[in-house]
Amino acid sequence: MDHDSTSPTLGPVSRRRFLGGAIATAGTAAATLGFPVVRRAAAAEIFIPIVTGLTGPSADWGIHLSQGYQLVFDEVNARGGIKSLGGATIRYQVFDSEFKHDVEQKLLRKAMSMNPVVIVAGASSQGNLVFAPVAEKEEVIHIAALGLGTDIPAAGPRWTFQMNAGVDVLCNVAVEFVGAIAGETGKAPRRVAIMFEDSYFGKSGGDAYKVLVAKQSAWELVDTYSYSAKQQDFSTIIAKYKAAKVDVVFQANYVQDSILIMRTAETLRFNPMAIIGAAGGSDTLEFLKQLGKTAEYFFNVAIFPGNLNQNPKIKPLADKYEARYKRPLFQANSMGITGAGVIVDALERAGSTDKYKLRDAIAKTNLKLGDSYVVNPDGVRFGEIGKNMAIRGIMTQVLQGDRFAVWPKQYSVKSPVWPWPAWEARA
Amino acid sequence: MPDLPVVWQALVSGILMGGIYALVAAGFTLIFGVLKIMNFAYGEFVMLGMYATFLAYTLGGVDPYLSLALVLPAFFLLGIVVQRLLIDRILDAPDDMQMILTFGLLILISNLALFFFTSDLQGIRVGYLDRIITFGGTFFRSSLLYAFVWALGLLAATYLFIRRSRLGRAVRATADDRFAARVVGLPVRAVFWITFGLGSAIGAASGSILLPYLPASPDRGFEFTLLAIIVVVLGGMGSFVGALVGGLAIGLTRSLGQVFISAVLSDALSLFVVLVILLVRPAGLFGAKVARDVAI
Repeated sequence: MDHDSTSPTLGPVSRRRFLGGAIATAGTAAATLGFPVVRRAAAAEIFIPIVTGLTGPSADWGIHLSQGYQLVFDEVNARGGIKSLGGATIRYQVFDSEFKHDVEQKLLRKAMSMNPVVIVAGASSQGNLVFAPVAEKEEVIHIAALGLGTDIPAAGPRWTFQMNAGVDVLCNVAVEFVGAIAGETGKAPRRVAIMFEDSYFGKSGGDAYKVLVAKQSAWELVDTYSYSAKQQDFSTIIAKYKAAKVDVVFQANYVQDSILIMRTAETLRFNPMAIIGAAGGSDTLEFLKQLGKTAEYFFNVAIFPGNLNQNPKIKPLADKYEARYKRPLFQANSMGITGAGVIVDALERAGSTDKYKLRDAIAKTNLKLGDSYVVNPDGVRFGEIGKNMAIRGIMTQVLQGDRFAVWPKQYSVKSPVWPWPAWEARA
Repeated sequence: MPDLPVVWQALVSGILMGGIYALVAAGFTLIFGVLKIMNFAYGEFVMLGMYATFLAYTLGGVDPYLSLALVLPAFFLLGIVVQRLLIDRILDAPDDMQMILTFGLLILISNLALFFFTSDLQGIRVGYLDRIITFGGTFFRSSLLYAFVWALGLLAATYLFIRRSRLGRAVRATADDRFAARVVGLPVRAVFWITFGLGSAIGAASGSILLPYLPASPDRGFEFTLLAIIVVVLGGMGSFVGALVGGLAIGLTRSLGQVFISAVLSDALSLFVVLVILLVRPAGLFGAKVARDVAI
């Protein structure tokens, strides 16, 4: 299923329509052949394919990501296109990878054959990792729109640009936060565990946590647990952590598993100081919706904290998104809006669709919150190998049913509750 | 040596999950035992059962277990329709054709579910099913305990129906020898319809009773099919008792394996157990040489 923003509708060819077409063709030919006075520069069309999953297990992310791109590109076109390119319009096409890696790679190659200005790959970390060397070899600008894998930028150092922070950056925020809050409150953890789902994303997070935790001499790593995201029962592992008196559980997971783990923690009355997620499934609206009060006090490192919607710099855009798609601005859609903003900004600065000029323009991106549709709190600035160096992640906590930034200080809107209140003590 | 409370928790969780696994596998084994087809779309009926109960609860406030009064007959009829329109046509076709058809059905149903229900997880939280029960130092949700009890109840009811009723006898006779059943005048084709309908209804019912514990999503179906295949291969194709024992064995292997061997290897361990049992008993624990012992 492809969605073309400018799908022509073909109807029966009437005589009037034929004559109109013939006159237009003749006029164009005449203008091209020697009537410079009446010739106007026809604005070019900028083709941008977006490969993401609109169906399949994580369709939510793909749908919202593509909506973010759609919102910005439609708005840019409505405002007269890319001004430095004489009002060139953006034609985008969304390809559905079904969140299957083989389909994703086929579609990315298909997109590559369609003479794109930029390819947006927004399905998975693994898909971006596999495609990055291909983009590098074929010299195609590759926006890794939805992937937290840590090795993606290095796999395509010149032509791949990772919009997200790597999950290692987010894990680092989680570990730093625990250190900081322990220092502030005097309540420091001793025993920690790491849980991660066993796909590329989760494993990247798990590996990052292992390195970071190993540096903490005061902590004892009790267990590292890798599991399938479709696992249906976590009671045994949580019982083990409860028996081992684990203080903090660091996680990198998807939606269903993050929900089940929290419900199991509540069921077994497992009372650590905190369970902390790194973006992923615990950073979705579904996590809050399905868990209700059980999600209260959960910590998660986010790229886009929900309360940022109210920031005056992006509120009009957030409201516009919500009015059009009936959902608040959140993780995947904010990444889509920001990614589209980066492309628009680079096109304006490059004043060209030449891939080398455009690539250089993207590489020199330096945008802050509110610039050119950027809704990331930290903005966008690419490092040497196309990694977004501006993003560092924000610790959020679920308080009264919503997520609020609680650390670092410059973003915090509420004070963190540390440690969690015991389940038995909660109202 | 692991802590005793952890072992105890794993044991209780394994038994509770195992009972549900058994019910999930029961419909699959019934269909295989009689029709001799590997129905890869079976898990989709489990998933659709979840959605049916979700709709009944959210739109009409119907208790998830009361919704079984709607789900069972509705999916029985749906199963009959699927059997008559699709499965009937490939019963005598080569095995690969049967696989292709049921796989096609799997893809169709899961994408229809995706279209109508979106990829959002859809769960329900019902007060009396959301209580936390403590038992001998173990903890579990009331939803899991209820699901286990309902699973055993439905298994027992199906078992008695197959064993004690005239129709059940016809089903067993058809499973035993299709040709002989025709010779003695049994309406074999109608038995097929009823069997597929019953198997589909059991699958959907297992989805209904699972919903308060596990949210529904369109991609859930295949994991249930896979689970059913593992349980049924272990217990023996076409055996009801095998499905029960197989379900409990998988549940316990997964949970106790996390305690005694490795949390990471527990899933692999359950498959290893299946492999070992198949080496010793190729027909599974309770399977006959040809699947002919439905409900024995």
